[in-house]
Amino acid sequence: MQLETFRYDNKIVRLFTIATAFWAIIGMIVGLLIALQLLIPELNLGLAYTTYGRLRPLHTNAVIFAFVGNGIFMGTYYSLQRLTKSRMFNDTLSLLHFWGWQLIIVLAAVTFVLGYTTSKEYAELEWPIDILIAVVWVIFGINVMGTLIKRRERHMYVAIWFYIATIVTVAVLHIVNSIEIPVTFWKSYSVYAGVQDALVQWWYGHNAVAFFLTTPYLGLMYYFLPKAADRPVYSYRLSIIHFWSLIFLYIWAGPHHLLYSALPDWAQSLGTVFSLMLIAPSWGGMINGLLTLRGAWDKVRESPVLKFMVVAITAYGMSTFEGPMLSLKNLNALTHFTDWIIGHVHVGALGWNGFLTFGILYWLVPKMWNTELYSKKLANFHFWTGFVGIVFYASSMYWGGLTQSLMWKQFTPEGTLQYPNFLETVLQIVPMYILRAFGGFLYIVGVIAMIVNLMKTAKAGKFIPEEEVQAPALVKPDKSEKKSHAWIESRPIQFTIWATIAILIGGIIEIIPTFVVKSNVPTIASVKPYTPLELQGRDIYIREGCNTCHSQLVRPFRSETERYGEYSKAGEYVYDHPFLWGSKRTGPDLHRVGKKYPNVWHYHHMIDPRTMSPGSLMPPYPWLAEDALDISTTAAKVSALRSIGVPYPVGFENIANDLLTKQANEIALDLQRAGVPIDADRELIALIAYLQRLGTDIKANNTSAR
Amino acid sequence: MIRDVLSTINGIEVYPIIGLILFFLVFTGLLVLIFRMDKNLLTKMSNLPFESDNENKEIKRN
Repeated sequence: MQLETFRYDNKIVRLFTIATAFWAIIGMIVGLLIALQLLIPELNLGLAYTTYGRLRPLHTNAVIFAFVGNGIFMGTYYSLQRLTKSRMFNDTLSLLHFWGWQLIIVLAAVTFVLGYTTSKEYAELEWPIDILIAVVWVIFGINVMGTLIKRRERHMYVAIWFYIATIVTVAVLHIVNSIEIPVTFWKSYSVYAGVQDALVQWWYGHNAVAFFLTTPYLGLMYYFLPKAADRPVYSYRLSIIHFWSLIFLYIWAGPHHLLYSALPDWAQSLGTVFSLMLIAPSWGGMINGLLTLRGAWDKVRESPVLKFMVVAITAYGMSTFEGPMLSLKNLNALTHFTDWIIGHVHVGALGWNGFLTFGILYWLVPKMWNTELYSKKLANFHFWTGFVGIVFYASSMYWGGLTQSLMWKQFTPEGTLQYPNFLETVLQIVPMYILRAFGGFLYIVGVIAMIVNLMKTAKAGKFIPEEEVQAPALVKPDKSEKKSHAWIESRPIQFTIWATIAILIGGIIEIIPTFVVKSNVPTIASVKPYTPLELQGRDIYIREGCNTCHSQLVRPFRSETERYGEYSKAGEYVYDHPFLWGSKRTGPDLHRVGKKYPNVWHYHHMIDPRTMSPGSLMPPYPWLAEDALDISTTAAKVSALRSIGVPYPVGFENIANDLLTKQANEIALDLQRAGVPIDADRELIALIAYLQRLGTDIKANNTSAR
Repeated sequence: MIRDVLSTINGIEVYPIIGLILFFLVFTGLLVLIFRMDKNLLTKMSNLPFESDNENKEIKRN
């Protein structure tokens, strides 16, 4: 047979390798900074740009999309070329993909610190960047599909299936969740409201974990683990079951993020069922990975690469067991909104994604630079600091989360809350925050050691930019294979279509009813759209990222109705574009905070939280009393919201600013009477107006009914 | 407190039924498909990662 000569492109892999290591450090250092800010609020440096609410999305996005994202592309570009025995489809597309992705990351970092955010977790980027992400993702998709079409190896190895599923699903998720109506260049509103927005968001959020942090990394595992262990995967049959059942089931499980929320019961149950079923394929994958090392465990002792991979796969197994358990309603009641969830995601991020990336880097860099790893000892040092770091991190978060949750729920024998002051439950777990920060610090020390080690390795070797290889051209499929799974494995287009169908079934069943059946969200007559001032205040709440620490969702438990007031109803959120339920209570829930305190309390609390709550960990927001509210956008905001269904009367946008000024004057007058001299045009006035409105519509109803 | 939290799961009756039906359909379909696969082909495919390198030419078998 005629052999064709061609060259693998290592230069693009090198670019992504450098980016992976670079963003790892940035993302993790921001993580450490915000962990320390929870201990020492002053570490926000007194600047709006570096407060917790703005840096937390920066940390999560940097780790997920910058560190892990570049890791995915590094591994995909390396393995795909070798598995298809062909160069990437187009070098220009590869470069456009690389630089486009780095541009997105830089834009993300800049816009987050400036406060441009949609508030939807892991989808915080504003609409112009959303469009850019879609474009770059399509470039990646074309590059991969093009490579598959001109491949020389007929069968697509299991790793490639995971890459295909990733590309298709991330595109679907990103586009559906990012449908928003622009107001200005850096401000938009989600077209979905309230419960619907929550459902779409967590369908996205859950599957961002599934198809950005899991499936591509499973693909990498199926390639790099056998390579590093120098033996084929344990069971190819198991990998087929693993793949199809994982992508089929994962997509349904989103609502487990919304248990005991105002989401309809059937959707909550659906989320729980599929979350439980997910254990099977997840553990199938883990077992397949670990058993690949059967008879080769002696190598694990010797090789830092395998050490990292074994811990990564074990962490994958742990967090995919924990996830379904946390989606059981009774455990969820205990853990939701607490630090336990932070511990859970970090077992995944630090253990699974982090350690697998490190394993791949330690294998890949010596390979591409044609040399040996500079120091095995340093790699072992990295392994142990990283490992101990994870243990510190996870155990402190589990302990702290559980402690705080039990304190929230503790009643005295007389039937009153034992810890009615929320702050008491926060201060109780501060030692755990210290241990967490220490764990994170250790982990970063390890990563720095790795970067030094890899740089020294690269320096000692010589980079191979192009690797020349020979392989026969693609042959036509064999007819005898027609009836088995091998049929689909040699047809990338058909494969992509079937994978898309598998993920769409779950997505459709979960989301369509919420779209079409209006009765899923019972409306409440007394719930009215926000006034223009409250609307502006709400956007300040979003800009400052208040939702990163405060939920707006009182669950139907006695411990919560006692503490916060009436539990939240779906109908109360119908005008919330976007929803602001939050996912973590570092501070108390705010859904019933309206009219609970006088305006002047809020004023002092925002200027310096510790004057109202001694020992509070909330950062001060003095600039809100200094900066004037930008009211030039009011009319545009009202019009935008009306176009997506908020019933502001026609022409309301013309009088909106008059109403805004009137309401602001009333609040300012009230504050001045209480001895606080403040102008009516400050941002803080709008924020107070919003906070005082929160959850009060339903109270108005009760009063009038009586 | 713990007893309180771990008491009952709401609507547990429907979970196994939905779960059973879906498991059955998807997994039997998959199992039929993969057990009809040729053993040699499976071996060949699980060795794909080892075929592509310059420096690692030998093909491993299970």
